Amino acid sequence: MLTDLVEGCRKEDRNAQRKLYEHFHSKMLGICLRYAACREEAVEVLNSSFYKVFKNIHRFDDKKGNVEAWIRTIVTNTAIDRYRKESKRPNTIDLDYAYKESHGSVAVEDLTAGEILKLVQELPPAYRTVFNLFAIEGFSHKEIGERLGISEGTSKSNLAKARKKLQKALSINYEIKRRQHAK
Amino acid sequence: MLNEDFFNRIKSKLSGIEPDFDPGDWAAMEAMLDRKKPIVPLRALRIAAGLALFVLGYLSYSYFSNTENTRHALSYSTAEKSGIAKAAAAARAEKDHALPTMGKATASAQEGEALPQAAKSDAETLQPAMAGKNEAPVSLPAESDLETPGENAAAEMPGPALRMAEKKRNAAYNGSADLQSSLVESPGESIRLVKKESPVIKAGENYVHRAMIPFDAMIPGTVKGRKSWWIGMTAVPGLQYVQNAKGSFARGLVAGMEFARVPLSFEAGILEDRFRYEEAPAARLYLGENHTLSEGTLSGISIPLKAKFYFRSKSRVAPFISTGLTAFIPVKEQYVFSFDMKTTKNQAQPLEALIVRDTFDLPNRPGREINASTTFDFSSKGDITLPDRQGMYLLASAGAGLNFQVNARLGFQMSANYSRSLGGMGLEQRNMKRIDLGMAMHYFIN
Repeated sequence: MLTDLVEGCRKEDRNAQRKLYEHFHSKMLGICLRYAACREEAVEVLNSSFYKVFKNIHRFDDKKGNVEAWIRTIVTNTAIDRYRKESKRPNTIDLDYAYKESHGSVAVEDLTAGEILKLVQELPPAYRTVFNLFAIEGFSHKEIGERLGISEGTSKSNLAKARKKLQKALSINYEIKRRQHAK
Repeated sequence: MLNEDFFNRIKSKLSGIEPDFDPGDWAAMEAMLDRKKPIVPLRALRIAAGLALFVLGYLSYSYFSNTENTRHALSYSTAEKSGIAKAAAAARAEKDHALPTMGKATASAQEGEALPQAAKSDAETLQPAMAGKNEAPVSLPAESDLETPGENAAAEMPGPALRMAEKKRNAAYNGSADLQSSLVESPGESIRLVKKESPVIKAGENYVHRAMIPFDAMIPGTVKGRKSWWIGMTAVPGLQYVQNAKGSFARGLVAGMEFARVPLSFEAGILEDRFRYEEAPAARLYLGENHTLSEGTLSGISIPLKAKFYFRSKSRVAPFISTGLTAFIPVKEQYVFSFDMKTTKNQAQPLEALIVRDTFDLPNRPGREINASTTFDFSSKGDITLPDRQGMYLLASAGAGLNFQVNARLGFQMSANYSRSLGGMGLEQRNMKRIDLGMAMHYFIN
């Protein structure tokens, strides 16, 4: 089925394009949401990615890989490109707070995926991008540095700050929820 | 909690996020796909704009540096002002009857063509010849109208004197005494050479004010996300001021590379550089001549190499220090002299009044010297991001440097200079996959 869709996209068949878009929409938008600050931004990244997919579909070789992995790579790269172009300066916001690790641990389990996603989206772009690439995509700091044009140390530092900020936010959210339940 | 555990928990939560399909998302996608392609692609437009700027700059330079036109205008107005034109016309009319043909001589008061070259060709019969031979005779002006310096010179035949002047001049320019200040006087020929200087504008000796507006059209790219490179054309019209403002123009190719991890960038290029300067090597007073203007035009190939170190490369204001070396290889240098000349058959009767322009190619510069200079700039570039990835930048810099000059005639010279850019600004399109166009104005003083 996917092969037919890809073939249809190669012929610029609008119906095939819509079906391919619909097929991968949810999965790819989920990725975009993690890199973006809001849904609108995520949809922009998604559509820019699919634009590239449709314009370059003739380059895709079915024998060398599957189309999902190919589209996923394009989506991730588009999100990274967007970050690289729009973040002219590194976010140097220093987080100055104490957090409770135990709360962070509990909070992850107690919060919904949507709530956690919201907290990830609230991270500064530099932290969010490194966090996604390291924690979700599984890239090394060296690879992240190469992709984002930053040093390995900066990548590590951004990740640590992202983790701290997330843990703090999780703790606060957990605490709010706990008090609401107590009432 | 261990990092790995924390990340795994987050990952497992987030990996389940798959928002429902929203038809509005596809509508936006479809609109993007349906967006009509411009009839002329944006890239082609930008390339065309870059080329147009390049051509415009070149044409402007060619027009303003067209010495035939500017000299003619200048000479003519000078002649009119001093009343020489009338005298010239009258003299022409008179000479047309007396000397109908002057061989190859071509100089004329109104056309401003070079007399001495023609004079060389015909030693004995050399006379300044005239154009417009068919013009009707006009009455001679009163002698009081003729205020040309040198009017009181002793009566002399213009032909041999001019020829001798030519010889003297060529000997001075070509000979070993070229660089010496000299005063040559020969009562019989009434020739004086005054003010002999190196034609080179030496750093440290003059204040050179230079303002440039570089137009760049660049194609940028990246190499595995580690390095950024750019290559493109540049056209730099400018004005420089020593004693008078003169135009300059450089054009060529530039390329550069910067690194993601190290705040360093390197730039290199090859440019054809051409500039004019007021200070010609010799101004000469020949009795009966009034030197009005001399001007040099130096053109050559510049090969700049520059390195930049950024202190805060990712920030909006990025101070950097740059240093470099520029090799300048002269290709051609030319001097143009303009002078009013009035010769007389005797003191009471003006025979001829001419405005003559001489052009000399400097014989021993091309290919024999390399100027190298290095300047340390302390600059700061501030970026302002505008909508749609348009960017604007402001630039300020101050610099100090050393100039080295190795010259076949002058030998090795070294001098220190300082420069400062009072301000610069530019507009650029920040899109890594398209042409970058930039424009800036730089001003500095050496």
